[in-house]
Amino acid sequence: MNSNEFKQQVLSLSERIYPMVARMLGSAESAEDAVQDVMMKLWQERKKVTVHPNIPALVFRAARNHCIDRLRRNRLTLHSYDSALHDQQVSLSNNEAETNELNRLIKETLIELPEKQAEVLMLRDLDQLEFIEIAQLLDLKVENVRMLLSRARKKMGEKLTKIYNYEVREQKSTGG
Amino acid sequence: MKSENKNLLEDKYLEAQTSLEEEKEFFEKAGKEESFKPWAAYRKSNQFKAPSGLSERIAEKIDSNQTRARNIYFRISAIAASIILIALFYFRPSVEPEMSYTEKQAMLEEILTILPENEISRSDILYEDATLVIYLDNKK
Repeated sequence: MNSNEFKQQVLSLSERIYPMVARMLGSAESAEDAVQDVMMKLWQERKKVTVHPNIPALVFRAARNHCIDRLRRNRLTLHSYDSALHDQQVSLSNNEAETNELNRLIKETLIELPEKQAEVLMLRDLDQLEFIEIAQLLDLKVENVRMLLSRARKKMGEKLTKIYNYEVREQKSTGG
Repeated sequence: MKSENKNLLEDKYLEAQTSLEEEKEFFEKAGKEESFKPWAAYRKSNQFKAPSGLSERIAEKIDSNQTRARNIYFRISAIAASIILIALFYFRPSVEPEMSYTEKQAMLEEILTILPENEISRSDILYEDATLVIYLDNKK
């Protein structure tokens, strides 16, 4: 694989993996460095990359593993993939308290979901990966990805509806 | 009609049958609704978009690293070649100085004294630079 082929087949995926890397690391600054590290490593191992039957899957997996390694090296507790959510910094809106509360509720809901469901939900709704990309990354079939995602979305919807209804009742009972 | 479309899209979203484009539309609408409003807001604040020119910057970095590695390789090769040349110059095998014509002549005379005179005549001797070849006829 020469430099041009590498740019076309591998490097062009930098933009696709960036949202996932940034979300996992919780920072846009370290995400660019991480994507660069992943690409440099793949360039050094381009002989192996050339013979790989599915290059996009290899790139996504390399990026994900790199993030997990980084989080481990930074001595962050990583019991599960979604536990990194605890450390994510969220950009705050005008109503800081409301945003904080919203984020806390969402994180709680995500942590309550089975690990695979939460992972698929984030990869699709936050990172905007295609079904086939998620399937390749997690070594699943597209049908399984759809099923996991559907369950996760329904649970998220139920949970949020409950929270919303509870808040409305609270507001009514306090006359707010 | 709008409400029907909204429900249809929500159903598709919940069944994970929407395309990324449809999901974008769903979240734009969900931002104004109750149930998925918090998720839509969370999504918006936690989404990261790749900075422009990311691939190009990484490509430049790879190219510059490659050039640097090549330069280092050439420098190391040049240093190694210089060391070998210097070593060859100082440690070259010593070559014995070539014999002068008179020395060769003297040596030949010395050799001829060893050989029996009646069996060899001077015409049987061939000179090849530093090598002396003597042909003997067994029939004699």
